[in-house]
Amino acid sequence: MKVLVIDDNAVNRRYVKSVIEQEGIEVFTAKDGVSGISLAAELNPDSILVDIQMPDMDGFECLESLKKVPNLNAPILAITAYSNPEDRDKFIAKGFQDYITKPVKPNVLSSTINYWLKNSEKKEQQSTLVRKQEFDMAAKDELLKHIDPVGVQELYKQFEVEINEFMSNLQQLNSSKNFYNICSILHTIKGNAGSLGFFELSEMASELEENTKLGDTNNLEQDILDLKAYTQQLFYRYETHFN
Amino acid sequence: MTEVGYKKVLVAEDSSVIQNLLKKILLFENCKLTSAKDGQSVIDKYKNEDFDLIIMDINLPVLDGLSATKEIRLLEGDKGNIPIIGISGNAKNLPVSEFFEAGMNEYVQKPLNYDELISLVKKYTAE
Repeated sequence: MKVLVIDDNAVNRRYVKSVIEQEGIEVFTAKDGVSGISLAAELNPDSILVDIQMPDMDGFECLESLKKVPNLNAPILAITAYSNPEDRDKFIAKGFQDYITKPVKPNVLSSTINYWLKNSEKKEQQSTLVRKQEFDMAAKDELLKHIDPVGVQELYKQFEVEINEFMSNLQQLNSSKNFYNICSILHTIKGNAGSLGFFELSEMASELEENTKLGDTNNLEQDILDLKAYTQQLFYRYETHFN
Repeated sequence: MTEVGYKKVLVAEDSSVIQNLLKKILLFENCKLTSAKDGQSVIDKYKNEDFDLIIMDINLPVLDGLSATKEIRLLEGDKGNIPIIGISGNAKNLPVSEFFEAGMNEYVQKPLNYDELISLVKKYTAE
C-alpha cells in the first residue's frame, strides 16, 4: 500500500508520514500541488492526503488536477483546520472522499486511512458468499422437478424485478401512511421469498408485517430502507454465486 | 472476559430487521447478543452489565450513536475502553474520520458486508 501526502508544512508532512508508516504503509510526500500531482501520476498511490491551505495551488485546485490524472482511482482525503458543517459539505461536494480536521489525532488519522484503503479494495471483491439460510438450494431443486431450468431461471429473475418494484411501492405507501397496503405487500414478499428459498428475506418481511399490523410503525421508514438494501445485496450475491 | 464459552455483544440498532440479521449471523460466531433500540438505552444497559463488544448504529433515536460512543469513552477504567464497531448507512454523508474522532474503533458501511463484520467481531473478541 502506498499513500501520498501533499502538504506545504514540513512539520505536518513529517508527523502525518510517521503516523501512517506505523501502520506498515509506504508514505511519499510532496511539498506543493505541482510536485504532488506529478508524483501521483508516477506512483499511482492507493490513497492521497491533501492539505487545503497551501500557497500557490490550494487543496481544491490540487484535487481538480488529481482527478484528471489517468488511471488514478485512489480516494483523495482533505486535511484541514476548517470544521464547520458547511465546510464539510463543500469538501464532499467538490469530490474529496473524506476529510480529517486539524489538530490531527494519530488514531483518527490511521483509522480513517485504513478504512479508505480497505474500502477501495473492497469495491472490486465484494462478498459472493451465499449462506444457506439466505438461500436454500433445496427449494430451487424442488422447483426444478416440476419446471424446466430456463423457466426456473425466469422465475427467479421475475422475482427480483418484482421485489424492486415492491420496495419502491413500500416507500411510497409509507409516505402516504397507507399501512393496510404495506401489510399486503409484505405478506406477498413473505410468501414468494419463502417459496423460492430466500428464507431470511421471508422472515424479515413477515416480522415487519407483524410490527406494522400491531401499529408499531415508528421505524418503518428505516426498516423499509434496510430491507431494500438487504435485497440488493442478496441478489448481488445470488447472481455472482450461481451465474 | 465475562463468561466462559461465549462473547457478550451489545447491539445498538433501531431497525428490527438488522437486529435480527445480526443475531443470525453472529450466532455462529459464538456470540450472545443483547439489543438496545436507542442511544440512551445502550448507555444504561452497558452501565449495568459488562460486555465484550458493542456494535453501534450511528443513526439512533433519543441519543445518536456518536454521542453515545463519546459518553461511553468517558466512563472510568476498563468500562471506557470497550471496543465499539460503528455501522451506518451514512445517509447524512458524515466524514468517516468523525466516527473515529468520537471514539469508535472500526466502522462498517451498510449494506453490511457480513464477512467483514464477522472478521472484525472475531478480531475484537479474541482472547
